[in-house]
Amino acid sequence: MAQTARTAPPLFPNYTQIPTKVPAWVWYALRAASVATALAAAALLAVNPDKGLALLWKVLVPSLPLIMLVMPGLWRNLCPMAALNQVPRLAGFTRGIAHTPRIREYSFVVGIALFFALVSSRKWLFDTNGFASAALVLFGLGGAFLGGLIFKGKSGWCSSICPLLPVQRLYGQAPFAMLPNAHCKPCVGCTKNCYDFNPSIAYLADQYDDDRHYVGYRRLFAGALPGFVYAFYTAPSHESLSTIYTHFGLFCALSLAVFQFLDTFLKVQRNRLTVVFGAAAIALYYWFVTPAMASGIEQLAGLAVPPSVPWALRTVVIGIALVWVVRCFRTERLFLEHVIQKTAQQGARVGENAAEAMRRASTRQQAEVVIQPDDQRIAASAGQTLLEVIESCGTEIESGCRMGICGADPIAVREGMENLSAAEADERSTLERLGYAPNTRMACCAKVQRGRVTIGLKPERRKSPEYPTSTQYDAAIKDIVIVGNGIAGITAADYARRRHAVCTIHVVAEENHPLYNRMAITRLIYGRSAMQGLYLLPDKWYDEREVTCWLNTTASSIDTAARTVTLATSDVLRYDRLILAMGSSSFVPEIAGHGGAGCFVVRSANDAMEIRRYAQATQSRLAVIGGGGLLGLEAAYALTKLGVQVTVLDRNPWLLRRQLDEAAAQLLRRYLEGLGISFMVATEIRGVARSDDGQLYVQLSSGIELPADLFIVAAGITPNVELARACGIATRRGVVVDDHMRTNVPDVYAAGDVAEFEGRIPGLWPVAAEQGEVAAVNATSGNRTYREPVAFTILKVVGADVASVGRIEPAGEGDQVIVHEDAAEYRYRKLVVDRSGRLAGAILIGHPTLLSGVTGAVKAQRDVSGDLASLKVGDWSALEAT
Amino acid sequence: MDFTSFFNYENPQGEPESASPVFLASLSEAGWSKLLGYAQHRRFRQGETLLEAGEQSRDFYIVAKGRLEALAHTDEGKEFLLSAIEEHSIIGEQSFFDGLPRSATVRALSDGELFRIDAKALEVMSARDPALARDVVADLGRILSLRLREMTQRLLRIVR
Repeated sequence: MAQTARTAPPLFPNYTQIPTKVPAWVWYALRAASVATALAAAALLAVNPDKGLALLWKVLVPSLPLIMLVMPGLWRNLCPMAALNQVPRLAGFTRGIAHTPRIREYSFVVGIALFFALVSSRKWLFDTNGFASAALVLFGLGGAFLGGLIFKGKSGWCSSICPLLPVQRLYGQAPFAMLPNAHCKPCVGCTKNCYDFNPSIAYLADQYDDDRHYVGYRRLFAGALPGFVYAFYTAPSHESLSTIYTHFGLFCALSLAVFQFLDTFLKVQRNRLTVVFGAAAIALYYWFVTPAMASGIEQLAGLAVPPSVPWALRTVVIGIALVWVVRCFRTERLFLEHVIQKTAQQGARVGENAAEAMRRASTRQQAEVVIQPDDQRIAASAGQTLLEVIESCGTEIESGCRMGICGADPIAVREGMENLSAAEADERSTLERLGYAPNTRMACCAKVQRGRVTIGLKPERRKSPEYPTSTQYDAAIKDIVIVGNGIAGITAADYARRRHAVCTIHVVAEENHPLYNRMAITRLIYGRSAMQGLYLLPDKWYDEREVTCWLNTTASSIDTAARTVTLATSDVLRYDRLILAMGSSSFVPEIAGHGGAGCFVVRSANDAMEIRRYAQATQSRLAVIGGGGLLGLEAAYALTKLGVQVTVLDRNPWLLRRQLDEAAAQLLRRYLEGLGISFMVATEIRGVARSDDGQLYVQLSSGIELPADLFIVAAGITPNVELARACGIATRRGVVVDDHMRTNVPDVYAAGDVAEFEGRIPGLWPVAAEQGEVAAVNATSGNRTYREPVAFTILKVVGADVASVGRIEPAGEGDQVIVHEDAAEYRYRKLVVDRSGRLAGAILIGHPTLLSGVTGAVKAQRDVSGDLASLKVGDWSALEAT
Repeated sequence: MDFTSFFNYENPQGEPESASPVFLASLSEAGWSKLLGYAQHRRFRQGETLLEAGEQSRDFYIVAKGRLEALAHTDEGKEFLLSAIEEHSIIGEQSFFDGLPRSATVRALSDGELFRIDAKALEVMSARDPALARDVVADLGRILSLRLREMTQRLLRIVR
């Protein structure tokens, strides 16, 4: 047989994988001899029953179980019945019929029945009757031949009804020496779990079959066998047949009862009990049979066997049986490990093109961010911010302005600070305001440049809780009052304290929250963590800076002559300097019928939480949002996440009119539609109506009426100027300020959304932070001129990847515009370059790798006149972040 | 249990057939690059536990490099091997669909890399690239269906 060289032989080799040195012709010769021997034995039985019976029942048959235990393949290849069974096949006149299901199921049972019936009949018939025994031998040979004539492969006898098969399968499961099947060339697949095909696994496969009946027949045989053997040697030989068979029946029943009892209570692998019963049966058998064997040899060979020989044989067999038990246990353990691995759900493979794509992605991302405490190792490419890396891995992190101003995403850098980009002014200022340990960075600003960076998602506290204050201050200033607790108010308080160590600072806030991340409030609509994580300042921030904060408190009036602010609680705060930072409210245009249940704005955290509450309470399904600006779109996304079907209305011809051009807006709109949001642009709302059953309808000027469980107006802001206006401070839309954030009243300043500078109220965080700082510096006798930060906005909708910075349309002759659009890939990028070659603005959609580089370059108004040619042809590497 | 691989009568010399299905067999390399663009790219070390049985997370993984093993625990807490996970296979797709706790712990047998695709990535993918997202979901569904079929076959063998 051809053998292929194998490095590791299979654990459970099939017959083609078992090595052999015996050529086929040897087997044929031996089989011929074996058939001849069987026929000779039959003849001897007939002619000389005494010798024949001794030969058959005291020498040949008692040898078989030991052969089946030690080298089962030998008998499988030599058995005269098998030899005759295969003759029709070799000679080509077998009918080769396959088993029917019924035959397949019960042939083994027939084999068991034959075994029990024939062996028990030895007691009164075969052991003493030469003719009967000769007939039995011929019956076996003839039956095997007949089976071979009719059925295919070995399924006519050897692998089906042969009475020796149950014994061979039980004892052949852990062969001490393996011989490959020398019969079947080729295998015709005639039988289930074929022993000849794979000897070491056939019995286990039977034991672990899904069909409990199939398993049951085989266990029944093993369970009854010890009792049967014992009964054989204790049964009376000369009693009536019924007495003999009752004796067998009782002991088999007892044996089975013990087997069943143990099977019920022992928590061991399934095959262990069958093995132990098999070992017990064979040990019993040789215990009893060895004296008979000795007498048989004495009788045939005419020599005296010393009494020590049976004892020696008994000892050897018991020893072999014990080793066999251990081998069977081990095989079962290996089998289970192996089979469970094969049977458990295998991971599906990826298509072959994935390999190269993964290899390329892997070479692109050389840097690495390790997130503690789980030590998740995220591959990163140079230029990615920590925030992008953290967000990409699904780890929860807060984010806000994404430019280092709001302070939403401080993280601790535990190792590899040198592998991050250095902090710039805005980030440094925020880090100072927050006052964490020196290893803190704002995740949105720190760019991975190389190597490995290890971070913790929670910033660490500073060891000595100090904050930067100046010892030089204006002693004339004793009390500063700030109205408003938003980013303008808090930045003002922070800078006032930095510049003045001793004055009292009061912050009066209408809202019931300390400074929080207003840019993330739409998350309150769909998220389950409420305000958790939205607060932007460490717990003791106010205390450490000795800032007295009045939350949930209304400032009801200002007396600019007496320099007092009166609170609605009747408390009166005196001031030397007053900074107004009351912020803004949602602007709600005149809409007929607007108001009441279901009508909302989204301006504060409480607005957003109320929308979530209402949507749940009323099981809202439909929402209409008036306004396709940043907040409107973010609210639309949030409601979609809540399972609400949202339609966004905008009076402008396209979405994000202030931030995007038409092409970019179209691309974004398609993306948002993909998320399930509907849009109607260039649409005017005429009014809101309610049907009799209370259903809200938003009526459009086109005549369309949209049913809505929720109607949210997000149409911009209106500054909260009433307090200032009532006390005579000059206001237009907002509180009018000069470039030092001074109002028309001495020592009264304004900053943030409430302030109107040069007729503009941008309503942006960087503007508010800058104005708060300028106001505080000037209020504490400094001199700082306000310069408006370059506008920068990001749409905080997952995957939208939309950013807009600076001026997005050309302002006149000489301005250049560079646009590249790839709608299929969801990519759009636009640069506006002014006549002097400096960057004035940009739009980016789907270009995360360009984001920080381009926005940085626009804010710095970088001169790109030298790079224009390459920028125009799409090579923007000059703007990539480093 | 299925032992047919031990009794491969037709091709006894052949290696046991790998019955594992192929995920996105016909997706081009560019398609794969796009798909991986939505994924998170993680590295792991030998011995690291990447998924914990009982954990809840809606994501599935593509093993780019390295070998892993899936382990389960008996009621007594004894650990046993469920399956070895080879390079370039996908894992975790069941929890990706149903969001229920992981059925097995996955541990790295070697250093390696994997790509993780979570529900959010699929949401973005389906808005930006609906055809790709549809293919991903349909093919994952097909793989689950094949497994269900296997289970049904087994069940039929048992009740028959």
